[in-house]
Amino acid sequence: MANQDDDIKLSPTEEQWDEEADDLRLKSVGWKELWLKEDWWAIWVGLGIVLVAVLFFLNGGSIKWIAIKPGKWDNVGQAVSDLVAHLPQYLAMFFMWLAIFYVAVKAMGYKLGEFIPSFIFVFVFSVIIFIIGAWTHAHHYNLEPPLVALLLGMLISNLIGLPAWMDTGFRVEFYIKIGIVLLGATLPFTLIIWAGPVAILQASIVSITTFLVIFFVAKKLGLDRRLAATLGAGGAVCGVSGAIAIAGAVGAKKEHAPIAITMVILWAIVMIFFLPLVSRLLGLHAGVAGAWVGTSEFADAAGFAAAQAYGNVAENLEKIPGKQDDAVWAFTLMKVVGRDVWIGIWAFVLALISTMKWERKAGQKPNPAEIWWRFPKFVIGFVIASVIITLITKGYSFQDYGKIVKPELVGPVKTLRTWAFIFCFFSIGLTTRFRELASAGIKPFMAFTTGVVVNVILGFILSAIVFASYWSNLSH
Amino acid sequence: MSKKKAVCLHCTHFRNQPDYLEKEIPGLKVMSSGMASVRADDGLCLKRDVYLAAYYTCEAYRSES
Repeated sequence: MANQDDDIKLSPTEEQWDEEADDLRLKSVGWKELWLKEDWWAIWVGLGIVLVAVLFFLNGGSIKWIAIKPGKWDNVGQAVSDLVAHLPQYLAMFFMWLAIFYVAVKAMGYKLGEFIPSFIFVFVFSVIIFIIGAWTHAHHYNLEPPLVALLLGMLISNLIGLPAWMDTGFRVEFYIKIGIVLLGATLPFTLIIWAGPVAILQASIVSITTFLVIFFVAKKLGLDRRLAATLGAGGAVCGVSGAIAIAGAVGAKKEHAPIAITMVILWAIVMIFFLPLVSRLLGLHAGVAGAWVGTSEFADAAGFAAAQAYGNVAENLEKIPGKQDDAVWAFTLMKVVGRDVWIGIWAFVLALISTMKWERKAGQKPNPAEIWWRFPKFVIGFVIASVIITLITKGYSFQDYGKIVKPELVGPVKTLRTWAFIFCFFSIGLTTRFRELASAGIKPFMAFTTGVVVNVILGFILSAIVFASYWSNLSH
Repeated sequence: MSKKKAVCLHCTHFRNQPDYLEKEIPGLKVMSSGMASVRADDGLCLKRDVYLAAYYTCEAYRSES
């Protein structure tokens, strides 16, 4: 440990940094993360919406008036009439989201003056995207809202360009985490108990195999162990979040995380289109495809885009078995329960290996508590939402569930979840500016891609063959 | 006055503000976030040009105060 009499001197530039250091160095967040981290705000917002929906339901009402979505349309005139007829509801929903985000954004320290106009931009385009998806022929042309949102966002950000300050409103992770908590309300807790262990088993097989493949191929190509681990986590555990967690845990070089992030983003975008397309060609059950996406997509946001897109196809094309819920539920179980929740353990284990084997240093001990601090807390909200709705609805018969619970409680929550997802998918497109991504180099590309190939094949075998009966029976 | 641990979190070379990290790490906000729980208190060391957990330390530690 150095003391202040060390002969390390600060250069004039570093002295300037020193003055700014307090602004750029956050004290340990600790339990303040309850109001400083997006994960917790996803819980407050998501569970808040669920509880309000439950309160209305238990008193004979429903939030469905404000949980508006476009009606199906055949011609543009119908779409416009539907929008105009429901304009007060669209406006009410907009102000609902704005009020919710105002509180969250202010607490997390973002600039409201940047967030509000940016969110207005996101909302207006999300309405357009949702309306496009409501076209009766949209599914024949693959104009699924997640794919349209992503493509439109990428076109705008890469061909037209937007001012950098608008990124404040393009909070991909915040929107997807809110969506996942709301998703919990539409996924029976009994399903988590029944299919959870299978998801954990399948996801663990694929994750560990993929990580080892990427790590050892990267090492064979002569890459730094820390970069190899960061690439492996990005490809095997949970994408960009996995890469950044492991990069911190192993003390990676500054350039390692951006390299892994570039690989994750590029392949995640490819998989958004590849996995649903191949699933459709093979006529996979929606649940089987959802599970495959859960093992072979790299990020929650990208995976939901793929799963939701395929789920929409299954819902609307008779030749594809299964329902939209099957794809989304299977994906959630595999990715969130099977992979995301383990990131803290991956980080702790790799930190131990890094400090005890790779770079022995005195005084550095990875803290087991980081398993909790790195735990993706939004999963807690997802589980709680599932428990709440499961308890509220357990007394209803199957018929009454379809007649009463679905339209008055679960349906509106699902609609708001879809809005959160569209905000997210559009934001992915808007923030994916290819010229700004770090250059990865051929060796990281080869290592990561080898892992992708193994991951996709192994994920398919386990989802479509070994555990197919589980994934195609979720609704039952 | 409590004594601070000599770890990166209290080192003058360490930077871990979320929006700073989102600017310095290209692509971080595309499919993750500087505000995510998985990041814990991790940050950048300007002295060593590494990204690491806040509980680490090294010979170049220099107290922020």
